[in-house]
Amino acid sequence: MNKVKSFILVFFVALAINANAQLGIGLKGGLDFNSVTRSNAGRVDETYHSKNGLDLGLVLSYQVNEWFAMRANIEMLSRSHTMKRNLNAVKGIYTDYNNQYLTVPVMADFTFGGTKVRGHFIMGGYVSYWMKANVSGNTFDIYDKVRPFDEPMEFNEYHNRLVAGVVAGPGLSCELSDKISLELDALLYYDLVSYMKISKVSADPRYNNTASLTLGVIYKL
Amino acid sequence: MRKISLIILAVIALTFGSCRKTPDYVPYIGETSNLAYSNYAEQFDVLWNNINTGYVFWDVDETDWDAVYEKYMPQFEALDLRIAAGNSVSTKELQALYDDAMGGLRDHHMLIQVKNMYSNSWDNVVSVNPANNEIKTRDYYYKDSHALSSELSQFNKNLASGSNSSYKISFSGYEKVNTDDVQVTVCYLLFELPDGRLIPYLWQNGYKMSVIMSGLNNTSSPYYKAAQLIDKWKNAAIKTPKNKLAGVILDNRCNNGGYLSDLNHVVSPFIKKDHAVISTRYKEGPGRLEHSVWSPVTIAPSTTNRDLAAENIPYVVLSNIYSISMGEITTYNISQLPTGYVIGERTYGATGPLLSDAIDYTYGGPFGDIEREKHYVYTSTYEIQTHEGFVPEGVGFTPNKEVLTRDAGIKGQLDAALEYIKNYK
Repeated sequence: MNKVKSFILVFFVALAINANAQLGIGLKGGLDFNSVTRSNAGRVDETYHSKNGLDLGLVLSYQVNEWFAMRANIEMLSRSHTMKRNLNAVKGIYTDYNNQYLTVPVMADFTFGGTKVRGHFIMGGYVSYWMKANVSGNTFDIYDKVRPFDEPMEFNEYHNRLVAGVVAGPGLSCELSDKISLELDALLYYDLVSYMKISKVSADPRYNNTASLTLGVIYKL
Repeated sequence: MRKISLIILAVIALTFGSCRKTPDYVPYIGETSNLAYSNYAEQFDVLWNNINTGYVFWDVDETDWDAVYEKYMPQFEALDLRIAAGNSVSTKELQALYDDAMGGLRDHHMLIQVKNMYSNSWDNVVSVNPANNEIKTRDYYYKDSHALSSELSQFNKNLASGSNSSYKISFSGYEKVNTDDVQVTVCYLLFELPDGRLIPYLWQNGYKMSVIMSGLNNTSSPYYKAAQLIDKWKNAAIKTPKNKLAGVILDNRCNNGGYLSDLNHVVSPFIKKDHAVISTRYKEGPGRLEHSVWSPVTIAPSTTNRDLAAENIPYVVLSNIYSISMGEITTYNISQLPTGYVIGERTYGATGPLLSDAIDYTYGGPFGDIEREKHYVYTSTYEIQTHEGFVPEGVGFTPNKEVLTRDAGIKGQLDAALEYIKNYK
């Protein structure tokens, strides 16, 4: 977390010393679409499935010159997934993991194309903190009776709540006026840190991959 | 959107994929029968992996399982080197190594058996029983299970035959019955207090009521006589008028456990609404703390029942260090009834129910086969938690009133129960 703080500090110092550059702030919202990468290590029948969620956040944009900007977002990404059991004995048993990740990406934004509508390629890195999770689905009780459930998930010592990764994707912006522009971003967040801690003896890492499609409004200060 | 994200994912994966940690090969829990091994190190590896992924108590067990692997694997490899050099490894030596490595696990149902594959002796099976090691360290440990159970059995037999004149007993019965896998002793006594009030008392050394009661109305059933005794206890507790019934005693001392469905015989008849004070969960993945959510174990009232709480009639359970498994689960369930009360000793601590042949869908529970696979592990499928969030595995349930066998003896514990009921207001 200290590295992130330092990066943000450097970012704002750079901002302060470039008086001709333009700072923008904005809001963004849209959908995220998360999948889990996990090996078959030790698994019997569970399969992992993608799940949609919401992506809401604040955008801070710093236009260095015509073709390059720096961006830092503070986003609440869902990064959810579903685990399904597939053996006949447990057909219909599943768990929806409805997560909330506070995600802070810091990205380079390369702009190209026309004047009013412009293309972007965005890439950078992020840290993402697993703030909370809710689990819902069907389980079976000791009498083998299927039981629906919907409850907060308790984190344990094996959960790695702070993860980090790389993010990249294209974007499209449209200047509505000198001050206001619309931004459509399609970004992919690729975790490089497993969200479950990795045992020294028996490694079974699990990674989130999150595609996000958001529409944002940026106000240039 | 999906196409774009797949292209980006491919580009990123190619660039950064190597930054992700490569998973190890982890055998799935039911896979052991396919994992042939030919030396001590591989045998240990299979056991370690299956307990690693299937053990249901990693949330409360303080064993550093990774450290166990790192410490003991070189020792098993050293044994293999000795075999390769033409030397032998005794089963006693193997026993000591496994005892050291796995004898401190918390599961009190657990039995780990390993065959010494290089010994032709008839006595070539290592048996590790973590509970046996732990209970001997308790300050109230008194005698081994067999000795205490025999003493209690004889005491009750004497009461039932009328050879103990310390008590007034209106009716008694003592039966041994062979159920599907074990012999169960059932003893029913109807104590009469000096004021004429009655106390129906039931002792069994195992919970097989669900099977035994199937013979209740069949005079040719091998269970008939034992079922009649259980039924008499229930009827006396349910039908005796309030002014004639002082209380009810269920003796769970030296009870080795049995069927969970027996809650229907010792709790259901005495409640008017659903009773759910424990919940269970099972493993739902190979990760040590990958569990299902907790599900309540709900006990519904019987069709014929009596609300002991509404009538303020005490329901006393006797427990001791050998109240095991269902002998403990019933104890706790009754203790949580408004007039439930437990007298005796802290129970054994083997509270996680087991299912056989369910390993593929519960990830945990017994695995292996000592003859075919050279190992067998008897271990819990479910973890139990009380409604207060307490996991009793390896600890047991503490009575409301402690009366130790060591100090008061078997008779002293019974006397404490009768005294409690006699003075109950």
